[in-house]
Amino acid sequence: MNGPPEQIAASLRGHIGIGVAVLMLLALSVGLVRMGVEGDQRVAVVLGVAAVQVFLIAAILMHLSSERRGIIVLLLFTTVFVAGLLGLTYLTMNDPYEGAEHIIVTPLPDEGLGEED
Amino acid sequence: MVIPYTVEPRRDSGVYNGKLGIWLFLASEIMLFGGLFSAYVMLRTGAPDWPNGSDLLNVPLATINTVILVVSGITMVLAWTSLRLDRPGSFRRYALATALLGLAFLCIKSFEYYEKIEHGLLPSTNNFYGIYFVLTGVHFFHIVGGVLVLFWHAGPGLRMHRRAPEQFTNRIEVTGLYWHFVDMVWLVLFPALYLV
Repeated sequence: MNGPPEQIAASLRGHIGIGVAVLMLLALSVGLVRMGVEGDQRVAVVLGVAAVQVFLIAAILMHLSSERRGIIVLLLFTTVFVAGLLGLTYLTMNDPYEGAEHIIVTPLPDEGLGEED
Repeated sequence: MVIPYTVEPRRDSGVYNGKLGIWLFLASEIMLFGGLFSAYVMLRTGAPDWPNGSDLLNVPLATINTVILVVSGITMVLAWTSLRLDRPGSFRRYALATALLGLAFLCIKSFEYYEKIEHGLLPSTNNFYGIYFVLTGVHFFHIVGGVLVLFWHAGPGLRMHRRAPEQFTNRIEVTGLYWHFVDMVWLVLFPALYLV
């Protein structure tokens, strides 16, 4: 954890550089939107830039690139789990299989249960 | 009684307890925000008509807020590095700077909410404002928690540095992990709500 001061100072410069890179990517994202990029292109660009920013912070500032295997496996499992849940939710709204039978549950007719003569 | 593995790593996990604990917590936070995000995606893709966030929300203010959070991430790293170089005075300054930047974020966000509420735009107005208030509101309270922890560590909590400097440095490391995660969430929320 506590290496020589020169090593710590060098890693600090790297971290600050990442922060500056994230700010520049933010300027790029906002700038492109202001310039009038529209529709699906806009979505792809801004979310793509956000993904790069997230990767830089996770890998460098949160030290994931040099983290223990157990932590990486934990996060991979989490990601797969969340993606699976999102996928299941998506499938309930957008069934991709043609001709799939959708079973519709109808209530049983009232047979007068509980009525007194 | 001394709690083990607050500094030395466990043989099974390879990390000290606090680091394993914070990553488990962050994994649960990924599920929380992942669920909320999926709600946003489902609402948006299922709606016949969905407004552009940039038409309804204050993009300049939110951009300033994003800059504030990114800079606070840098000051957080500077705070942790100060402790690694055994400079508690420097740590206190950077930790306070991070907390104050977080406070500035909260003030600007509160002003944004006030602007909306003043014009009668509430979570109940429509799905767009509903998901906007929920997503940014949950993030807001995460920032509140982080700010409180930072003020504690920069204030009364700093006493621990005198008797257990390595353990205190580890506490700041895990605080930094939480802060960077909250920063990352905003870096996704901002474009998803304000720019598209």
